[in-house]
Amino acid sequence: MEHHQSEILNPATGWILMALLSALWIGLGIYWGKKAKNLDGFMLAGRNVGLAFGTATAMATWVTSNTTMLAPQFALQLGLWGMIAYSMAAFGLFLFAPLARRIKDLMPKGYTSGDFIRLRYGKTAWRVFLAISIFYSFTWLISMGMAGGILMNALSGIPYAVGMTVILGVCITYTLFGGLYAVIGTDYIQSVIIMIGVVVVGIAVLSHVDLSGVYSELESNRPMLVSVLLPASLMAVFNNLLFGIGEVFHSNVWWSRAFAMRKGIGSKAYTIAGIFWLPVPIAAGFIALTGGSLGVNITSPDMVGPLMAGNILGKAGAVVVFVVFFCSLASSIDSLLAATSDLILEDIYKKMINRKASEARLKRVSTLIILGLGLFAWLVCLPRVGTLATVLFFAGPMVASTIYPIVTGLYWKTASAGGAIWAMVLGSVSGLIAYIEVGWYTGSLIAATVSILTTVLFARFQPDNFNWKALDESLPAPGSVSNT
Amino acid sequence: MPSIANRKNRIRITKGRLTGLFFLLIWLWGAPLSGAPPATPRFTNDQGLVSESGYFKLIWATGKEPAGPDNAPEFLLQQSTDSNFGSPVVLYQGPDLATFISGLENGTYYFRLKAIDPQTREGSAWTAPLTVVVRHHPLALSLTLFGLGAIVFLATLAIVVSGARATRTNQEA
Repeated sequence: MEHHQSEILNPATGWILMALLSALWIGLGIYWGKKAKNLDGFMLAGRNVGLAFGTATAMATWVTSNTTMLAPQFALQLGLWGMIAYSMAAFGLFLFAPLARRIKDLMPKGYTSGDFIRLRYGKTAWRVFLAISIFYSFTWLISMGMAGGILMNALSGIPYAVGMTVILGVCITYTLFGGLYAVIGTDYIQSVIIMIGVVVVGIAVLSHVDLSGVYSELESNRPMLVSVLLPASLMAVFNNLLFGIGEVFHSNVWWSRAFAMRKGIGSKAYTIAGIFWLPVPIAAGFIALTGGSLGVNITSPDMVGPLMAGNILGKAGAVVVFVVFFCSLASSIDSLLAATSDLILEDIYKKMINRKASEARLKRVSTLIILGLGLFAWLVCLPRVGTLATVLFFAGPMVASTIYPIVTGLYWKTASAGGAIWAMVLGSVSGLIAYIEVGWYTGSLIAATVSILTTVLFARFQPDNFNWKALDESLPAPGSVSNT
Repeated sequence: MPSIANRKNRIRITKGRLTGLFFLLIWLWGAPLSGAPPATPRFTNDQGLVSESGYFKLIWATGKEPAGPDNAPEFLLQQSTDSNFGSPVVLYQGPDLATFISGLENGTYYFRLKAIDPQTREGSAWTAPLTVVVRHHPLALSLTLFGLGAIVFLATLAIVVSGARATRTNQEA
């Protein structure tokens, strides 16, 4: 049974907003997609993305349902530390900035993060990595499809299944038409709307809410939310930070952007995007803490962000919130569809199934993969199982276990295939045990700890001596590729 | 022997009585019984719930399905640290069927609920108290994991910074 709460906008307004935004993104996607003349254009926007578009796409992609809906959920569940824990995910972008430069130097003609693992560690590590990366992509995609349905239902009463279907359908349509050109172009507009929206909502909330009243309500009724010693939130701080680093370091969403940006751009774009992103979860999370003092009942923690913003700001505010949330979801779903289809196309279809496929054939297969991804996500989203946090954080241990195979693989010649494989396997298993036995807020932390120890021990006691030139497939193959 | 006109008349009267009885029954079935309180709702959570994170969700259901949306009852939810509800706190009053609770300190908390008729404002009996135990993770475990996380993060930072610096030095050389 749905634990229904009264919506803020009437359904007619919700339908109109949804129709206008859908038409806008599909139209812009088709317009930008005209630039994609070949496969490099479709997959990597011609490898010529500049600083403004690069920063905007990194920032917009990282402002996902995770930020706008999970950050308030974190604050509601874990209090002040929860807000800080969520904002720590900015370190994923900060630390990826130097990696983006390194990736572009080592693999000027690379396509995916899977390419890197295959060339750096061989096929066994590559298969383990692909399993993790594709699983994570699905959980992210599903959490965002769910977020779309939850959001539209909470704000305007549009049925969950309809809202979820529309947001997935719109993103699939414009990604199909324009590939990464459309994704980055729409991300640019979406990031501008998100930034303006967050500032407007932030100012409006601060002018409506009495800060001392919020604090005293929390202190008397929910004291652990303002305690610095709330045990679960202490564990969540570095868990979330390491999850964020793992997400960015391994995911092809971020690698495809590193390949797509012009040389020398990636490092700056990721740093600036991190700076812009950092305050967003704090602003979004704070809203959740005002619920008690304003007497708003929350039935499901993942609805707290949109519901509180709508309740505080009224109908006009709810329209702004609807638009901002729609943009934040679309900017991430499109990126994920494009990057995951690239990963499956390049690493599975082209490398495992049909090595001699023509460019036209690859583009057709890419279309089918995007459609298949969307259909699968839709089917899994439909029954709305679990909250956003439980869906997404289940992938946390696996994602965190890939951090050290990636980062040492990029900088240390001694990092070995054995170390990478065992780091991913042992890290994932131990992290999942912690997730189940202790709580979801420990899985990534334990996985990262086991992964770093395994990688470093292998690099120390069974070192490789990797030839960096083996990563550039446009060069003649040097015969010293490390294989397992 | 009664005339045909009389028989028709009797049949008409009987039909009229039956129709009246039918509508009376319908009215009695559909109309709220004056003075009858709404049915007592029930929690759907398991009794004796233990939360180590400090947050949990309470879910409840109506005791009897309302006749229509206008007759859906309101609910009054109270919380107390005393099983007799000596000094209860009102957590929620309204039509929702769940509430999310977080930020509680270690302890045993009792919750009870009653339905309120939106028209007559008459309340049902209280539910039996639902007991929830909040027992946060041990602080030693939390601080250990916090420290471990800090060390792993600093090590990651060191690998990236030293790697980037070494690469730049090599490129310049």
